[in-house]
Amino acid sequence: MTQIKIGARWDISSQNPRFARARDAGLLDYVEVNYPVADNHGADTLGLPIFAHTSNNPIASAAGIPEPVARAVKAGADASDSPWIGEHLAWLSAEDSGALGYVFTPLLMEEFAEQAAHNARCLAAYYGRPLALELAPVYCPSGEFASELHFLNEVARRAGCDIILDVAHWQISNRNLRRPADYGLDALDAERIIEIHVAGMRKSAGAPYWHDAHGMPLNDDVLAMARRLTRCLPKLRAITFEHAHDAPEQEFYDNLRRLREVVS
Amino acid sequence: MNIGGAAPGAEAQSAALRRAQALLVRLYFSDALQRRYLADPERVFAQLGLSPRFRACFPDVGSEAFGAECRGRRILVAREIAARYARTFELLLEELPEAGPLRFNHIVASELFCSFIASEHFLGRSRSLPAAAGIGVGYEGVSKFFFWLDETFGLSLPGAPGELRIRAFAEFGRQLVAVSKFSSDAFYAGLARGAFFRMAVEDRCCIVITAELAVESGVQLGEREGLVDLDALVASVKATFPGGAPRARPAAALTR
Repeated sequence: MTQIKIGARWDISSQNPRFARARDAGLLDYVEVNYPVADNHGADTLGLPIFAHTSNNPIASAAGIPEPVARAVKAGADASDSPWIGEHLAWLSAEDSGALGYVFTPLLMEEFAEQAAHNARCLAAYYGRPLALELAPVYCPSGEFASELHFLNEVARRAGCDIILDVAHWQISNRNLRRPADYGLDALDAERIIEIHVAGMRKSAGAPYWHDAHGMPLNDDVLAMARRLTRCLPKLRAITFEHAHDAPEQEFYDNLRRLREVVS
Repeated sequence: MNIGGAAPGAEAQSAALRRAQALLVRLYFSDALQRRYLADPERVFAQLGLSPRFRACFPDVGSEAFGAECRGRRILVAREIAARYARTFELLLEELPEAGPLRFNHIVASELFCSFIASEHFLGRSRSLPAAAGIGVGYEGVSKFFFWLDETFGLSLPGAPGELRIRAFAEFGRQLVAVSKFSSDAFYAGLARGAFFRMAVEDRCCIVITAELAVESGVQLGEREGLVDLDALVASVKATFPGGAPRARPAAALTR
């Protein structure tokens, strides 16, 4: 089995000092840059491989993907020779471009599956690199597919893409939809999952719903699931820790250490 | 030109998918649309020319779960704009908590915020400034909120509410100067030296936002050279909005 690398999500240059310290402590194997970024970002000065990722391309949008965003992502991926580009199987807005703060899970319909597969094929050709698709958290059931994970796998299959299993998003969805913690894993082609994301999650105050929370540390459930996945996914190559740029710095290092223990 | 999109021969289906996408996204943010939808969803789908199959595939908009997702999304938007318009919100909202989740909850629950996120300023992409990363307009809420405030309260018109104009323009100006330090978009290039705006629309007395992001009041027009005229910049940007420059209108009043 290929050695699994540990990385962290990078959004802004103020993260460079903590990334440098983590690198020096042997905690980081790569930097996952969330494109597009400012030209003078400095992530490329850290001396670590860069994996390209974006949450700014609406892979599932009926309007397709705005070229300016894709161009910026491609430039970053080409500059770092990223092995793949992480993308979101999502909408971003009600319009042909723009965004409204957080990605939207599309309607889980056959037509949107085909639309997303078409968009992904076109984008992969534009990039000249493979794509890996991930899902956003889900709160309500919708559509015709058994679940969003079945939808993801079908799109990945049609588009010839790999998959990023965002463990936090997956666990949030399973909790919100009252499903077992491992629900949906068997709906995914194990050989397509090349990367997993791990992050914090938070529960609503006064309501039984969970949300993505990059400002919080990893919980034991997410870590336990990550450990399980490292042992059952034959093509898993990378684990990315998503931690907010303004979250406590010591937490960044502590969670990377915990991840290394999980993988070892 | 977008990558992907409608496959050849599938334009009619693509148009229906776009309408369905727009409807669901707008339902997360517009309370009025939610009420209309929940009162008669079939009518909404029929008006949009969407088949009953779309109706069957939509999530339960009236469910607690959908409400939780709506709330989570709105809090994210509130966090983005509250950080940049702290003093503006203190003027607009009574009993605003000082910081933290209570502050965001208070903003999210306000009629002011709900009006903004249901507006075309927020939901559309045209009434905003280019993103710092050079990918075009419609990607951030900070400028969307400023242009919504400007239109809603007539901040660029004679007789604009004085303190609100000063706070909103100052905080917006600071954001523009800050972004200019790292943006790759040519729009922000001239702002790195700072900006100024008139304390009142027809005043010669100005407020300056320096390159160091300090705010200095009582500066006379002409005393500071090389700074961007924020009033002129706002006017020129608004002239590019759908419908062009807005017609003169009295400031709208929203209950606090």
